[in-house]
Amino acid sequence: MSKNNLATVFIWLIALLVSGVFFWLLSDIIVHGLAKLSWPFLVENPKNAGRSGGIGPIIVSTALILMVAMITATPLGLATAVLLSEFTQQDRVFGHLVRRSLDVLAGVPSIVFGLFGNAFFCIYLGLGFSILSGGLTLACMVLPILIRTVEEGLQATPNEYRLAAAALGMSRGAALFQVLLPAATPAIVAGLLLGIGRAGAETAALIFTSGYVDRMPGSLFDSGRALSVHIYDLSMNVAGGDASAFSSALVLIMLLVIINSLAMSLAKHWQHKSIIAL
Amino acid sequence: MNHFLNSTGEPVDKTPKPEDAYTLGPLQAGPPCCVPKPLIQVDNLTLHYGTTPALEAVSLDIYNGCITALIGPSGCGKTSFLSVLNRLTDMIPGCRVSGKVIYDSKDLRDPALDVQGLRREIGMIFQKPVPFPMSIRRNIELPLREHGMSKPADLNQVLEQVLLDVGLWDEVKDRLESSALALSGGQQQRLCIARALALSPKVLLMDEPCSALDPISSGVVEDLIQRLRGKYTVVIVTHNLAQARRIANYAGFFWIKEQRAGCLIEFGQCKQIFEAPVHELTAAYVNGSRG
Repeated sequence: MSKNNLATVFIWLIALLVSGVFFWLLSDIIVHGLAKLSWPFLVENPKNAGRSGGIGPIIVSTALILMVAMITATPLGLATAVLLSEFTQQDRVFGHLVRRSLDVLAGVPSIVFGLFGNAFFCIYLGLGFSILSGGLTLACMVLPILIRTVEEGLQATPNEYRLAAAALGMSRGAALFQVLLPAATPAIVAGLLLGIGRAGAETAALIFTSGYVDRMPGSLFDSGRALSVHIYDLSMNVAGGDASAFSSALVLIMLLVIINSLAMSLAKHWQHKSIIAL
Repeated sequence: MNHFLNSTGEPVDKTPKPEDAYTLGPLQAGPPCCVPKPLIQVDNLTLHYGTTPALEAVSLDIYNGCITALIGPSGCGKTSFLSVLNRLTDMIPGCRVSGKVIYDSKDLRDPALDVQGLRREIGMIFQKPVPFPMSIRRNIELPLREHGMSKPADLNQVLEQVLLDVGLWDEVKDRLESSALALSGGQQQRLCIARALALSPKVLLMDEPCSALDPISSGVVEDLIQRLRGKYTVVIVTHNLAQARRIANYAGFFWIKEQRAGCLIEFGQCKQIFEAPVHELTAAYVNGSRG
């Protein structure tokens, strides 16, 4: 066997291994999770610490937390990415400093964000254990990823677009909103999806900020239990909660898949309709 | 006033003689430019990128309604010269321009000048066609909307007119809503020219508009540029000497000096530059023995 063939086999093996692990995980969750999955499970309140009953309030809390996080993070993230990419020079100290800090922030363990969120949002701002605190903490966590992804998307748009827009007498703002941001839509969507993915999977940061309460939240100032926290609780602290944990995990995965495909198709539709007819 | 160096290095004043009247192409517009009337006057223009000089002491007049070709080897500052004329140099960090540039009795280098308005009057076409990633219609309409035209009827009229002008209408009239990126290179370049024409500019700056195109598309774009003569003032940078000779009324020859700065060696009627160049460098370049 030649070296080339050997390398091919090796690469294929690694690819198989990686996707194999993923499918094993996924099928495990599906097989164990489908048993309890039903409409009542999705809408009812949890009973007996989650061993029986459903996850209705938990789905609502999760959705609210994600909503708060993304509503806060998206405008801030886009604005910062635009500032970094379009209004600071690449080699200047300011941009360099911000970029480096964001890269460090993106790698900070989520538990640190949790402690920060607890100290700042819950205690200092007096929001207490609430969906709002949790969502804002997640927004802080998501921001670095979102900003860097969108910034790279903007940087990847050809510089010719900027020159051509300027040569047509368009202002920088017009070029940005009419040409560059639309052209960077795929990157923006990717950034948002990465952010939602990270936020949806987050446990540690939420335990300290949005709390444990598994009742239906009445407002954003109520504590609410996110799906990931619920799964963690069921599998770690509640004996006999495994079946519910599997089903909740399946719901979480389905939720993320639904959000992903929704965002993808929305972006495609938007691009196709008004901005980029590809 | 034009200052050139003759072969011994002495500056000579050499304002070109009037050029023979020519027949216009199918576009049939504008007065013939047989009496050269300067529209842009460049005097002693020097340009630096950081501390590196790119252009040194360039003086020439761009004549109204004529095609002026700038020829010379790569890196001799022809593109930089073009970007001075529509202030795209503003977008290059560290770019310093000195000297005098008068356009339509306005100082082009005035910091208070309405640059967006200026760029509307002095359009630019790039070497690589740059259609925006959107529909053909939106490509043309976007800059128009930016400059305040919003009535669909007006927009449609301009759209059809400019696409007809560049000979693209028959090719794209049935797919105005599809992506401009799906057009061929030559069509894209003509779309970019149409987009610039839509703003009814006075001057078009063209930076090697044909060099990224195949010979046939290049020929179509060249014909189009021919037809712009009279109605628009065209400044074109080209490496294709035959093309310059075919289309230009006036030609300027740039060369790189020892200090890596570009300078204008000779400027005059296209015919004179190609058939009776004064400077020996020009002669060597246009005859293909140098550069």
